Amino acid sequence: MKKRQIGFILSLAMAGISCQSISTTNYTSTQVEVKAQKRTVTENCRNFLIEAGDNTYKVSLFPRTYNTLAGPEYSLLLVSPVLFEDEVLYNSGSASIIPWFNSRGVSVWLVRIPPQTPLEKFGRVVLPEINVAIRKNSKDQNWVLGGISLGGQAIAHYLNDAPKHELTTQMRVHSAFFLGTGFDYEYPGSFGRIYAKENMAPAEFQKRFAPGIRVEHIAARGNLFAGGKPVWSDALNGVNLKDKGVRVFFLAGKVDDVAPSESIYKFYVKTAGSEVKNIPGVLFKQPGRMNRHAINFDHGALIASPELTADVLPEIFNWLDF
Amino acid sequence: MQLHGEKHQLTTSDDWKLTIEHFPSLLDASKKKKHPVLVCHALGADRNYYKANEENSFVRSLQRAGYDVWLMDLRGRMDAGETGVLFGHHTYSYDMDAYIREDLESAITFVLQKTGAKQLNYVGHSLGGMIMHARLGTLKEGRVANFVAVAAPMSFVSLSHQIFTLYRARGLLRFIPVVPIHGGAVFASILPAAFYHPFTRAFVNPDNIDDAIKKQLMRASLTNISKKEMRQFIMLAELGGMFSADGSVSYRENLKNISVPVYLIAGRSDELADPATIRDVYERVGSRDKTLETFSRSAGFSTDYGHIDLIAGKVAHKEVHPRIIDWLDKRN
Repeated sequence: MKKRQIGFILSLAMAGISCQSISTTNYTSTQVEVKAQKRTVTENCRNFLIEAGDNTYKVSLFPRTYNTLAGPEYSLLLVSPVLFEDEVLYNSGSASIIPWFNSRGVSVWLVRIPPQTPLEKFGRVVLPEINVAIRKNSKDQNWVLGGISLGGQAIAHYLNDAPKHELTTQMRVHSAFFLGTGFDYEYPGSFGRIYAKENMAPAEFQKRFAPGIRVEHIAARGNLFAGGKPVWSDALNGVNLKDKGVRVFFLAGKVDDVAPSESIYKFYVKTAGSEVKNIPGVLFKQPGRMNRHAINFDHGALIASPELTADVLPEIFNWLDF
Repeated sequence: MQLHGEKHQLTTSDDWKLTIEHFPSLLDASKKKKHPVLVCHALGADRNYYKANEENSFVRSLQRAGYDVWLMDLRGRMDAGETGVLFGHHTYSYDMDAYIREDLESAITFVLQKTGAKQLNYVGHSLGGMIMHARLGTLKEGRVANFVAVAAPMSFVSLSHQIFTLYRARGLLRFIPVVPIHGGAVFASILPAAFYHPFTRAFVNPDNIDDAIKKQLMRASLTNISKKEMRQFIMLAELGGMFSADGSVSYRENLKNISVPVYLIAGRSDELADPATIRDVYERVGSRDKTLETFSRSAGFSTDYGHIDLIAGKVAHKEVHPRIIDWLDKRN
């Protein structure tokens, strides 16, 4: 018993040492967040501030909590879901994405997109700089990028220049998945048009689009507009992920009205280059009862829900197996 | 079904019998609408589901709004006489092109003759809408004034697990003379829903239709599907769009030739006509006057609508029918 306690203390000490030894080239500060009284996923989380361009960006590392010799050999990089507070990814009050991956041996880096930041600029200009810093401080060779909700647009813009970014960041992106990311809203009744037009309070947004998410996790509407313009853009015409050397998995919740199939399917077809052939490495799926899932997934259920961790994340995890 | 109109039988130029049931406007003549409405049903079904929910049925909604309603059956439906499985005057030997060229031609001509109108409104659900998409785009039909297409795709998104299971069984078509939907549905209607639930869910949101209505439709409104029809649907998935039976004409490509006002309706939880496919139609149709609407909870409707409940759902008479009538009224 004593040996195990000593081992545990040593491992904590090692974690502290590794934190201290992180290169500070691009970091203005490092911080270890420990909540002694209440055990949460954030107790092992390390927060960094990274300078990129004219701004400083907050990045968090959620280390893997389960190690296995035959486990996954990649790290996962997520960006903010934008429509929701970042906390929804690790402390949603229900089943959350980040601890789910951590417990399966995957370290997760969460890059936080500041409010009112155009996603195209963030993905094309800022994220490459942030990834240089992240890559310098991770031993993992292979990376997976995860686009959650609207934040996935930033990932898509980044991947548009994936080969170029791989050279500069030394980050080999093997695969990417998009969970509830809409790529264009240029059609009647689209969420983008509704949200841009209606001054929707978080409670109203929650009621209509994401009933399973806590109201306090819904981002303020003002965060999604910069200079009066939405932070999102028409990624369907502005982004091309075909033949970029990255496997891509698109997931459109069957009853998701924020990122419905009509805002994703065309982008999937553009990426695959075909509507009718199965193209290796490009996948489209609609989480819902039609695919033997427990529920028809709305947007909130795709962001954080017990059904997400029971039905959808295992499918993504299996697909990522490489 | 308690609603009954005046039944008419007509004969197509290739000698098939069709049934049309007439339901006149319930308003006085001064409030009668400009054009009559011809209504056509989906694949593997006949006109009866338009009469489901009786006083809250789609037919009654149109009648009460002042429309002269004509419900049509495509060929092979039982009211026009039994179609032989192996032998008989007619067998299940037709394809969707026959609907497009012959049945619609006869039905439109008949209604215009009977009413004296020069044009009509057309409402088609699923297959009923698809064949009108094809006729308008390819045959340049000029007698349709306004077109409401309810859950009528011209392509598929990726197949659901259940539909893919059926798709994988397509080889069985070689060994059967017809897809026996009618007998299967009648038999299933006496079984507990658990036996067929996963498959019916592809056609209807189970939370949005009364069980009694569902059973009634299974007994009285589902019909056999010819092998050629089914093959054309399989082509739809394999070739990426609706084609003529010989594969030479892409009806989807020809959507650009459509110029009449079009109202395209989708149900958010529809597993057959996914809203992504209805958006595809919306973008391809050449009409300047075109409307796209998805019936979903977030849009303020009671639920996310499925395929059949857009017509026969619990409160379709309060949510869907009024939207269709409102759209028609503005053009009549």
